[in-house]
Amino acid sequence: MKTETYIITGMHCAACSGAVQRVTSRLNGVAECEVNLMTEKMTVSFEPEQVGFSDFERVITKAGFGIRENVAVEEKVLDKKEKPPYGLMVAGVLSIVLLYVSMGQMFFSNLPVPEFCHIEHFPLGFAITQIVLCVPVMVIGYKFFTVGFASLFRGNPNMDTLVAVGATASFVYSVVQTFNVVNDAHAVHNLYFESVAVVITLIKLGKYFEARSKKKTAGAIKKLMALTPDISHLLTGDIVTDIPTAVVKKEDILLVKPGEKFPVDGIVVKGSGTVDESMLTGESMPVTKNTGDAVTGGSLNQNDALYIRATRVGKDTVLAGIIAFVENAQSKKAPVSKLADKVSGIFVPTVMAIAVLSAAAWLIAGEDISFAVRIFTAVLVIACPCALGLATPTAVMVGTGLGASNGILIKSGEALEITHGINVAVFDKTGTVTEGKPTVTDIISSDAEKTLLYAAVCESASQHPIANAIVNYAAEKGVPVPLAERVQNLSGKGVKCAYDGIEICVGNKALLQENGITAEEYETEANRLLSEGKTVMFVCADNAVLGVIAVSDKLKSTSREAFEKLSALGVKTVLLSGDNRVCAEYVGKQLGADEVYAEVLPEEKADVIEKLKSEYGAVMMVGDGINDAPALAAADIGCAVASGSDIAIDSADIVLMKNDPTDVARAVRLSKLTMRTIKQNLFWAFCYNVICIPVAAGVIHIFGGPLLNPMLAGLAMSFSSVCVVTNALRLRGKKL
Amino acid sequence: MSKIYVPDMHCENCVKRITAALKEAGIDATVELASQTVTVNGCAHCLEKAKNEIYDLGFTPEIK
Repeated sequence: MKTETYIITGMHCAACSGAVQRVTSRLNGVAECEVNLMTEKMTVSFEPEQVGFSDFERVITKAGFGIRENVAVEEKVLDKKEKPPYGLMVAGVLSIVLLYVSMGQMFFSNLPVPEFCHIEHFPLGFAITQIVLCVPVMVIGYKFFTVGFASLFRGNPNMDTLVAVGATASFVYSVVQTFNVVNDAHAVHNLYFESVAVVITLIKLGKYFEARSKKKTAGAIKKLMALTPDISHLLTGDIVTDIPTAVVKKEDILLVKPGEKFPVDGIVVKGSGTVDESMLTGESMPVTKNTGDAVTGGSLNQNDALYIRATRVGKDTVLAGIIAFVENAQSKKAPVSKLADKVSGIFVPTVMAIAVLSAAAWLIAGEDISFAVRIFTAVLVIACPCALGLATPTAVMVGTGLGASNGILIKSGEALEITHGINVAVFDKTGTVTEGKPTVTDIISSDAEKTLLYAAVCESASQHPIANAIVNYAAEKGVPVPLAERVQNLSGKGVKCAYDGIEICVGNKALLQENGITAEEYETEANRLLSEGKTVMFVCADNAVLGVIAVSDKLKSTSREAFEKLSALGVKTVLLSGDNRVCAEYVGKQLGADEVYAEVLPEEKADVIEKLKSEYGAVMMVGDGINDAPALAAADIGCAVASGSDIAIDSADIVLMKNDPTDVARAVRLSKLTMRTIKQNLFWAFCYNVICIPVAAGVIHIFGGPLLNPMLAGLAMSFSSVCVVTNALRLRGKKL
Repeated sequence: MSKIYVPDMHCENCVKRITAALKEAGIDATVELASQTVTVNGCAHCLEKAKNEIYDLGFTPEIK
């Protein structure tokens, strides 16, 4: 019996994967076949004498799919690079040329332009050149028109509607003016082709950046799936065979070698050893697993070979549950109602009403229909704020740039917008507000140096993080650590060794009791350290306690400041930890957290976020572990520290590069500043245009003034753009 | 004219695969997703051939 994994191409739905599975299973000699639609992989167990790849290829190709042998090569193909945005690039080039031809000649009369599109010498050519340049851009941006008009007819105008209506009006108006050029050369000043093209291009650019940042989240799920090994070692009788993890069944007995990850959830049936579950629980201390203990797929077996009985496989494992949750939370995330959309919701109907009313008013006043149409389009054209396309993207661009230079990576404009309104900031404890690895905090002894030396000697052979903490501390203090003899690991209790003719043991109270050692003089100190959530170890030499060493996961130096800053910004602070209550409460008190949630299981973290969301509104989650990923995705804003796991970083909206918790407060401040800038920009974007609306509606014309002064229109359009850009750039100089 | 019922035909992609396979086999047939049926224009032999083709695609066809 042989088991192989192949890549299947061309599958679209569950029926497809079912079909592949059925045609393969029908072949003689195939014992088992499983097809995964999502990973596009097929795993087959078969008798190599009876059936082979060529048979699979024949039936699967016949069924209308493709099959390939080499998994590694295929995965590279799957990760193909995204296509460059050709449409956007073409639109950009055309818009720049268009701007040069139109605005360039208006403002700089001596600019070199070809004769056929010279504004003075050949006005009709000037206008037609612009149409030729503008139409392709409109075709590239056709979605604005379809989406914009569709939402208008649904009675729900948005940003796209404004673009669509404005651009259409400008285009139609300009085309009409082009016909007028034949009779009146001055009509060339009434062309707005360039604003049509520029608005479409800029807004498309903004959407492109947005889409690109959103794509990254899909990577998180792939990485989560990669956490479990592809190959498992199946034990049948006394023989170990390697099989793909995908075909592991419940009740299978698997061997997990030291340094390997557990492929599925299971129960230890033979052996004992330490397991690093940090990627799942976030807690850095390895857990000792003995026969009968449950282990979780994805966690790391450290030093000893373990035999496990599979209890949950495939989509039932804890890890698969986390994957499903992250996917679910990401798809459920409420869409943000963008400020520009909100403004458009009021602005568009108002402008349209004014356009209709003023046209109607002129009709009633006795003007002909062509005059009324001209008024109608003029109002729409002048009201379409060119700079609106710039207002949000420029502020967001400068804002994210400022964030990046301060080590705060913001993945989307939306994230930057939401962050200013958060009411609660939830911090994961381990690795986020603490260093994430244990360090020696206290040595209590009459001979501290000797205590440290003996402890280090004893622990130097061990790989446990507490042992590492002690050995590192000794190295820091310049204590040389000689080799110990007869090192003995007393699982769950401590370590024993001989050095210099002395029997040394380092461990917990259980170890003392076992050896009949009393430690009365250290009792109170030890209890105090324990109440601070620290791990306490007694160092004994020849059956007498020499001293006590306490190890704990220290707070980051800036954690307290971060909590204070957030409180000052009016944000409620919450500490969330899977750790025991004593430790979490102590840390929470030190930080001044408003609320502490302790002993929270990884799968419950997201529930806590949901509860806080319903109680207080917008919630930000700050975390670093895989176990935080569901909570990061569930929160309105997920914020990951860069030292955290890839999955946490991918699930988050904001990444703190410097691992400094105070950057959370800085991110909030940055968001507030950016939002203020966006609002100011929207004001500048609309301001000049709004002033011109009465002119376009013909108010001045009543008193004998011009109908729509093209100079005024041109000035309003360029001034609003300049104001918006300048205002956004001002953000760059702000200190966070 | 007879119908073949294909209960595991679920999506447009299934329809495409069946249509293409039947066309290649020279069978005149129409595939309908909503009723999950393939209507074959031809003799009993054609019908049997069509059923086998659909079976080879990984479906479980039944002649009605």
